[in-house]
Amino acid sequence: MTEPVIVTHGLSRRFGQLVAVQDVSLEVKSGEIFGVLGPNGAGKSTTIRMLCGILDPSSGDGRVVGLDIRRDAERIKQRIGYMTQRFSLYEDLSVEENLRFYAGIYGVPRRHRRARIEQVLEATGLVDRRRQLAGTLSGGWKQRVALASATIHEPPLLFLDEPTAGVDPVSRREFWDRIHRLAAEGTTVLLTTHYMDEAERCHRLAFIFRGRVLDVGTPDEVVARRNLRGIELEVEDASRGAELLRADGDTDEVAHFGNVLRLVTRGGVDPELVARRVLGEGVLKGSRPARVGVEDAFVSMVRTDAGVGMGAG
Amino acid sequence: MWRPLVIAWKELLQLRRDRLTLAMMVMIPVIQLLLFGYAVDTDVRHAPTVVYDQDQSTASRDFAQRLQATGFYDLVGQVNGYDEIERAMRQGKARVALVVPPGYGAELVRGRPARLQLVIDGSDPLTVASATNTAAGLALARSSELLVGRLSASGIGNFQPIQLETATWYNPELRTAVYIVAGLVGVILTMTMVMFTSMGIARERERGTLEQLIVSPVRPIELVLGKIVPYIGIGYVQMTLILAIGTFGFGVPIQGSLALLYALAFVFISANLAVGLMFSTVAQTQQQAMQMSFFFLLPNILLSGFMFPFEGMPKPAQFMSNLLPLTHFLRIVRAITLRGSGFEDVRGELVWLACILGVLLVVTSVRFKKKLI
Repeated sequence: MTEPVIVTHGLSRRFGQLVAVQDVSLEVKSGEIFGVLGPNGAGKSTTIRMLCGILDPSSGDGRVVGLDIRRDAERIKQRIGYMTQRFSLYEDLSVEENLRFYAGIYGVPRRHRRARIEQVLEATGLVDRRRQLAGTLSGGWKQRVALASATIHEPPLLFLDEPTAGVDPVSRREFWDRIHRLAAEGTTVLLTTHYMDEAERCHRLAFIFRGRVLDVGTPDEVVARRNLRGIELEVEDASRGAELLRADGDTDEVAHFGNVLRLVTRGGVDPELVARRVLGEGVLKGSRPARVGVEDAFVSMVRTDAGVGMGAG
Repeated sequence: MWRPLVIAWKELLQLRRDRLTLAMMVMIPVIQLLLFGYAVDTDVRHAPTVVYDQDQSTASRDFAQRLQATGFYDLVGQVNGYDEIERAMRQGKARVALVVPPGYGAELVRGRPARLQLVIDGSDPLTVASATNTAAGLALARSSELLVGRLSASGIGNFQPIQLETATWYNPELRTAVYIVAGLVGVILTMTMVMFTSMGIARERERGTLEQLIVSPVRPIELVLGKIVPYIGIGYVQMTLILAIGTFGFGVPIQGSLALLYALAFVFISANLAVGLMFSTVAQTQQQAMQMSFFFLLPNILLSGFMFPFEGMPKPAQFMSNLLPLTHFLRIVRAITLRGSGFEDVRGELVWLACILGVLLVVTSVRFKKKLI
């Protein structure tokens, strides 16, 4: 077996009194799309910064592309691509000039540079816009340029920090197609996101909350471990029904979806039984089973963890 | 390609698109040169003067004529009484008044001391100094002239006890423009170099591109080099522009070696770029960077000897003055252009500049490393 692209052991980072990241141990395999999920301020960006070698861990250690994150930070930078949360290319340079700049910065050999830029322009569909100033592009196009720049030196590992924030749904789909193509070609991708539909597109996930990893696994594994079941209910008075269901001990989550209520139960309890018991036959007009996804698992996990935290405090 | 060159290429591309900045880089030197070269003149000429002649003699009219002839005083009218002098000064019609008491001419003829009074508006000290000196000189000259005339008339001979002959070297016409324009080279370089470097990094920070550079293999020193190389070039362009306009437009002579001046300017430009970089580690936005640059410019203009002579400053101010790179560069520029000094003559100033640059580089690189990452 080859060494995983990312391995960390008990990675922690403190800023004064604040513990931003605590005891994070991860393993990301080659060619994997690995998603890091968590609310704002959970420690996702801090983790990525440590893995990129631009922030020293307070304790713990890690290896990225076979290099130690403390000692070989400079060599790591050469072998990774990084896309920041904000669109951070030079708006007063054209698409092609941006690519030429980053090709130069990453030391793409002169004789390959022209061919490599053409290749990236082609792959991201930017050929027609090569002379356009980056600042005049719309959100989705800017994101393409950012991805093209981050991959100009063909890095084996790509970090994407909330890459689809503020990008329209169609562009997001195209973006994910490209990510999967890159992964198929052997690039390992680690990305952070809040979009749960995107989380399901990852090969594997890590849930991060308050600086700690709550769970790691494939989307299916993570969801299965929560042991949740879901149902969609047609109810006479939806808001009254939701109130009653929320008060029940077996309920994990109740959400409004248009005219229907979506009920998720924990501990593998049959949601239909819960609904009949709580609402009574007369109120419940109809029901159909609902798929439980990453979002349900995530919400459930964060609620449980926050509840434990409050109880302890 | 070497990374600093890649960054320098990018800076030049951005600069080419930023027409306003580009225009500013050329317009700042030209406009300042015209402003300072034409408008700033600390010599007082044509001070409006009224005459209160109570004597109305040939001698009194003669003295007034001689005052007019110096070029420092413009006789704008006759007045009758001190109240009229006061009114003329309050209205700004006169800055100087010559008062001739009755009997002035008669006293002269009799060979007794004759009195004249010069009343000066002291609200502008520069006027006072020039007006007093010129009039005092004139009175002295006229006195010795009379004395000599009398002595030769009495047969003792035609002689003058002491003759002081002053010779003004290097700027014989004492034109302020010559002195100011030479100094402007330093002032403009200070202004643009500090401002553009501090804003250059702040802009990358503001737009988020600095973060992208930090995760790249670019080392801080490479980034710094790539950022400042284009500005050193711009500094030299500005310097050449000022010297050219100064020489052809204002007749500022260049007595010494231009090559020496350009070589020493490198140390000065570098020192200013280091100041700019230091500001950039503090400033989060371009606006802050700009404000800090202007804040830095003020003591440079006031304390460097650009506007006020170093010799006249109190000790603490002189100490501060010596810490500014501009102070030493001004001496170098003026020495080389106006006096034709060589390397040996300005070596002391170069040592100062080099020490300041050394300290700045150490402080900046320490701060830069900490702040960037």
